[in-house]
Amino acid sequence: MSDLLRIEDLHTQFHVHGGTVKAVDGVNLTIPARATVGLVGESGSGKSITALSIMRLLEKNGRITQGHVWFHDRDLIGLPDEEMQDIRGNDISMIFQEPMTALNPVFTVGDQIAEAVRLHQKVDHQAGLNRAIEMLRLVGISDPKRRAGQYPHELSGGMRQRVMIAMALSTSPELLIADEPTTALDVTIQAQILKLMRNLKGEFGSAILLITHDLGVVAEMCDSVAVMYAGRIVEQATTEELFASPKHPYTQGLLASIPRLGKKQERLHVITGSVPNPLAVPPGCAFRPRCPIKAPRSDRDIPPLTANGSAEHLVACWQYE
Amino acid sequence: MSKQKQKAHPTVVNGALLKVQDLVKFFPIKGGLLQTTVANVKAVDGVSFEIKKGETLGLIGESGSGKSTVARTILRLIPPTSGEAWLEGRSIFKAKKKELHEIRREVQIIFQDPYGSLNPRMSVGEIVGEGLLVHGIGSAHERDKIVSELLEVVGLRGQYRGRFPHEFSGGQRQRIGIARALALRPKLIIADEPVSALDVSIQSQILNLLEDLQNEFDLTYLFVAHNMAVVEQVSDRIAVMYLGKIVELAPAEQLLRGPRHPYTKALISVIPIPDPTLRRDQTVLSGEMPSPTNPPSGCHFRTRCPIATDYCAEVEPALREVSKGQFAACHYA
Repeated sequence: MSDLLRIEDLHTQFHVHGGTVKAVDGVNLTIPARATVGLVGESGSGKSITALSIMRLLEKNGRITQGHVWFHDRDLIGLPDEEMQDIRGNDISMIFQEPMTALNPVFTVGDQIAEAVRLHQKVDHQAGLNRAIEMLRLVGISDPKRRAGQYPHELSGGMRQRVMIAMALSTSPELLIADEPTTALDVTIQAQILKLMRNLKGEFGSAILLITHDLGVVAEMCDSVAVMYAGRIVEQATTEELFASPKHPYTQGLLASIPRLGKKQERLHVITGSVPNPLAVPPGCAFRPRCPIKAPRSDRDIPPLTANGSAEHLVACWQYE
Repeated sequence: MSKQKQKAHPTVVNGALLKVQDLVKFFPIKGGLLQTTVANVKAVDGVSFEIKKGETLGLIGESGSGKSTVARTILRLIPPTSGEAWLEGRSIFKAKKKELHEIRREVQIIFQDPYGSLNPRMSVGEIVGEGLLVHGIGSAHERDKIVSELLEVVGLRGQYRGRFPHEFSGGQRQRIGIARALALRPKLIIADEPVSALDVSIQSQILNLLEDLQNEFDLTYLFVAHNMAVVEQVSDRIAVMYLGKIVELAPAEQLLRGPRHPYTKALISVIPIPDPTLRRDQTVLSGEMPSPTNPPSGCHFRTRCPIATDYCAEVEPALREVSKGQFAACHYA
C-alpha cells in the first residue's frame, strides 16, 4: 500500500494564560491509502490537535511551529489558504464527536450537504441536492427526501452523525478523519454507526484516521493503531500486534486497566498518578512519573520512536535501548 | 386489547436495605393557552427491585432509559408520581421533615460530573464537611479532623482541605465527591455514572477505591451507568433498563454469560471488546429507542426486537423468573 498521508515531526503549540502548551510535540505518523488507522489517547494527549493540525483548523492561539504533513507529495503545512480550502472537504474530510457543533442550525441538512458538493465539485445546486439525497440514503436514513428538508435540531444524535458522515463522504475524499465519532452515542447506536463506517469504507475506499479513547472501538475498526501520551506517539503497531504484545509501559498499563466484559477481575490494574500538567511536562519521558520501569536516561532524554522486533512495531521507551 | 400489568414483585429478597416497588415517574408536558398537561414523559414506568445490605446493584441502560430518574427519585431530589421506596423498612417517599433529614444522612450520592458537582467557591474542606455542619456533627475542630481523615481515606492529602476544586484533576475531584458522600457514614450510596467522565487510566483507580470503601465501611451501592464492562466489574447483580422499565435482572455473571431478554442479548453483542482476534455475531438493532412520551403498546422493546410477534404488541410481558435468580420481561425468554 502506498502512503496517503505522512506526518513528519509535527509540533503544534498553544499560547495560553500562564505559558505555552506543546499540545503536539514531535508526532510522526503514516496513513497508507485505504487503511484505517486508530489514534488513541486520553484527554489532553494531543490526538484531536493532531487532527486539527492536519486540517489546519486550529484555534487562533494555536500554531504549527515545526514539521510537515505530506498528502501525496504536497506539504499541507506550507500550502496557501486557498489550496488548503480546496483539499479540505474535497480530498480530506472530518467528522466530529458532537455533530451539532459542525452542522449549521439554520440550514436544512439537504442544503448543507448540497452546498459541500457544489463548492467542491463545481455542480449546480440541484445536482448537489440530488447527490445529498443519494448520500442520505446511503448512510441508512429512511425517507431521505423528507429528511433532506429537515433542520439539524429535528434529528436525533445518531441521525445527525449519519448526516455528518453523509456530508463528509459526499465528495468521495481519500481520507476521512473521524474524531470520536461515536463517543456521544449510545452503545446500540454506536454499533449502527461503526457498521455503517465499515460498509462505506468498502464502497468509497477512503482511508480513515479514527481518533478515539475506546480501545474496544480500535480493536473492532482499525488495521493499525498509534498510542499518544502527552503530545507524542509512544507506540505504534498493527492492531493485532499492539493488543497481543504491547511494549510501551503506558500501553501495557492502559490495556491492563480496562474492565473486560465477561471477565470480572478481582482487582483492576491501576496506572498511578495522572497525566502531567501541560504547562509543566517533566523533562525526558513524559510518562516517567507514572512508569513502573523508569528506564535509565528517561529522566533526561525523550525516547525516540524506533522499530522494535519488526519494522511495523514502533516503541518510544529507553528500556529497549 | 387486553393489557396485562406487572403484579408480583419477583425481585424481592429478604434482608433488603432498599426496597423499591412499582416506582413511576412521569414528567408532565404543559401546553396550550391554559398550560394544561398535554402529555407525559414516562421516564420511569413501574420499576421494582431490592438491594441487600452490602450488595452492589448495577442499573444499566442507554440514555432515556430512566436509570438516572430512578436514582434521583429514591433520593427524593424529585418527587415520584407513584410507587413506594423503603430504606430498612422506613418509607422514603412518605417521610416527613425530620425523618427525611435522617434518611438523607443515610443515603448519599456521587455524581457523574466531577466539575459541575463541586461548588467552585467552596474549599475542599467546606465541601466535604458541609454535611457534618448541616447535621450538627462535632465542633469546628473535630469536623476539620474528620474531613482530613476522609481525604486520606479517598487517597488525597489531609492538607488539601484549604484548596479549591479548580486546583484538582478530574480524578481527584471525583475523590473529593466520594469523600463528601462518605462524610455522614451513609448506609447506601447511589453512584450515578461515577466514572464515565474520567479517562481510562483514572477509571480503574476510582472503581478500585469504591470497592475498598465498600469493604471498609460496609456500604451498599446502587451503581448507575451505561458501560456494561464497568457495571459488571463492580456489581453483584445487574438490572437492565429500557424505556422506563427493568427488562432483565440477574446476578452479574449470569447476565453476561446467558442473557435472556432480546435487548440484553443485543446490547452485550455490540459492546466493542478490546480484542481484535475476537469474532462475534453482532445483533445490531435497527432504529432508536422510541420517545418515552408515547411508548409502544405491550412490550416497550417490541419495535426494535428481532423476535417480536403480534402478541408482544397486545400483552405487556411481566418480569418473571426465567432461571434461578434471573428475571426477564419477555414472553419468549
